[in-house]
Amino acid sequence: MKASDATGGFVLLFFGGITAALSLRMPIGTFRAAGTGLFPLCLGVLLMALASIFLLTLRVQALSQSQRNAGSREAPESHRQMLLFLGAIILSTLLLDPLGYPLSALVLLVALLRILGVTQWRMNLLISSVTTGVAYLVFVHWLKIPLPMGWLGR
Amino acid sequence: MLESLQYLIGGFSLATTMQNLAYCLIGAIVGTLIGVLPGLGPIAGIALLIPATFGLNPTSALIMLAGIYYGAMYGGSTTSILLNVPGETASVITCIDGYQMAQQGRAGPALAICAIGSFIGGTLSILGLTFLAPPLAEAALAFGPAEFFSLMVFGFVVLSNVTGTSLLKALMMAVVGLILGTIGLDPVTGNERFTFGSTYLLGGIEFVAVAIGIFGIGEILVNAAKPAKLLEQRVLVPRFRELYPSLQDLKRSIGAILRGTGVGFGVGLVPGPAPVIATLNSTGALEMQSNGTMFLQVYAPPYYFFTGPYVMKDFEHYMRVWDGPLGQAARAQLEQKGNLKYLGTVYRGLRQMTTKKPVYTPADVYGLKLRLPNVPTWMAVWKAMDADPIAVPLPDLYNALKTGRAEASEGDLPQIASFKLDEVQSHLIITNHLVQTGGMLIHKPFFDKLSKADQDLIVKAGKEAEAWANNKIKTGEAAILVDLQRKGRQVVIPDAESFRAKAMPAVDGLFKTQWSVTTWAEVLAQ
Repeated sequence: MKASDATGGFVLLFFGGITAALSLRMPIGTFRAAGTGLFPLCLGVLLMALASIFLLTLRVQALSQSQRNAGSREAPESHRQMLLFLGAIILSTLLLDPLGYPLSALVLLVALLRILGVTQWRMNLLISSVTTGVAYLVFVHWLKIPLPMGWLGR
Repeated sequence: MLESLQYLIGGFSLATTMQNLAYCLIGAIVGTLIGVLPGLGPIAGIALLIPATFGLNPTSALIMLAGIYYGAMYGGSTTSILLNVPGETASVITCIDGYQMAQQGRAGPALAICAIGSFIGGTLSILGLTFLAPPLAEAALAFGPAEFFSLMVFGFVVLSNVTGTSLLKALMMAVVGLILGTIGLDPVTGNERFTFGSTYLLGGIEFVAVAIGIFGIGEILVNAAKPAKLLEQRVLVPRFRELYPSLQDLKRSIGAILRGTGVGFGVGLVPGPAPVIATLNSTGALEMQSNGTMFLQVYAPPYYFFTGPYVMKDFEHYMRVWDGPLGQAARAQLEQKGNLKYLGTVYRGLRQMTTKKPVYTPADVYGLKLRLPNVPTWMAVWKAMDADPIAVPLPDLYNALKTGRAEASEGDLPQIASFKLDEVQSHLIITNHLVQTGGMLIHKPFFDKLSKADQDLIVKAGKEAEAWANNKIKTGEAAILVDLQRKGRQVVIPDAESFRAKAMPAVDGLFKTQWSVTTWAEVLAQ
């Protein structure tokens, strides 16, 4: 059984279960007069059924091959880098409202470049500042897109 | 056909002047630049750049806007091919083949084939639409819920054939997509689904956001997980000759381009996922409707004054006019032009204003960025009152008020409460500027086919529903007002007469130009 496939299957089974459970809190109605929750409930149940079949298929394949296929694994260092990347994106999203767009974009770029291996702080700050400045000019000044400014806008 | 040809030749002679071609080129270049930016598609591009065309004559302005539109459509595919990040919804599919070609060092041919394909598809579709528009429009309007359902099923059948090795994985992903698509307001009941109290999720999750998440962030994470040396090896430096497609490339692509043109032309004709209910009801695709007053705007526009700002004094006045000769004439026109039989009027409340500052006199709305639905007559009246109207779709209203894109809004109390506008607005101004109603209508040919007993039953049920709903909304309106005051919102009662007087020239003007079946004085006299 390929570990990544099995994990994906369990995640989808769980997601389907959560969807179905949350749908039950809404009016369900009948098939002739469907309520708000009927369609997502059907989808949640369908996803659980498909994920179960998928996991069973994986299990049967694993048994018939009678050998465990570990699947391709990334090096631990790469995994760490990917998680740091994802963490930086989530953190900057959370900081968007309090810090505002210019500062949170700057923080995100500094972090991403650092993770990617730009170790010289001067170079890192130069690239991040210029990129943030250009993005700010294009989106906020030129295209007039309302983005949160945080305490800079006060 | 001959008439279409004459119009087409006339259009070409206007469009192909050097001046207009130059505007088209500028529009296409600027549109491409906009389209490259993720999340900004052709519609957003046009909306942002409309002010740039203000100084031009209408023909040149339209040509430039068309250039922006097509440029933005093409610009979206540039990032799809080069970065695996779709610029807008339509270019998501370009990621699949285009990015693969770019990874093999063939980004140049991919971009060129995309441009050539867009040009051929766009040109043939426009020619087809010019000659076949009337019969195709009829066919497209016959597209009802059953046909949409069939199209979705067809989509899933196609999906099962283009998903590589695992059908099961493809089906699971399709179901996950459908679940994500249910987030937001239920289009049938209007109830919230999976919004967890967040107003950001009321409008659902934008397809572009999902596509950028899957393709863009996915690609970044995949690259982040790879050692730097491996990434460096992937940089290919092609020769100049390899930057444009070979004859063989073009030969292989032409079949796909023509197939895409045919499919795209057919799919593009179908009305969007939120078709106009009035039209669907008129064609019989929907047998009954109960919503706003859009049916008047579509099928009896001279009578749309019923929902004009400051035209009616109150709901009782509205009903007197609706039950009188003017209302009878409006209903007759609805039956004649829209195949719609009117069953009853539902009171939805008086429209009020919400702001972040007190408004007592018309001078206080000077320059106020007031959110309005995209109804030209409403915009005209508020503009004449020196406000700065801004059209924002209802699901985006909360965020527009929060970010300052709009400073004020107007709507009935149930709307103000259900969209939680009190969280982002401090004052409720009792302007009573519009009597908001909804109509219950039935497709007339469907109604005529029913037995007399069934017809009577439907008419009686309509009257009962009207009485029940009106009572419920009037009671609810008072409760909402008390609740808003309890939450600390300031309720201001402005000088209504000075507002009405300020609106008078604009409303009178609309009666002369748009609603010429009567005058405002005649309406007020009833």
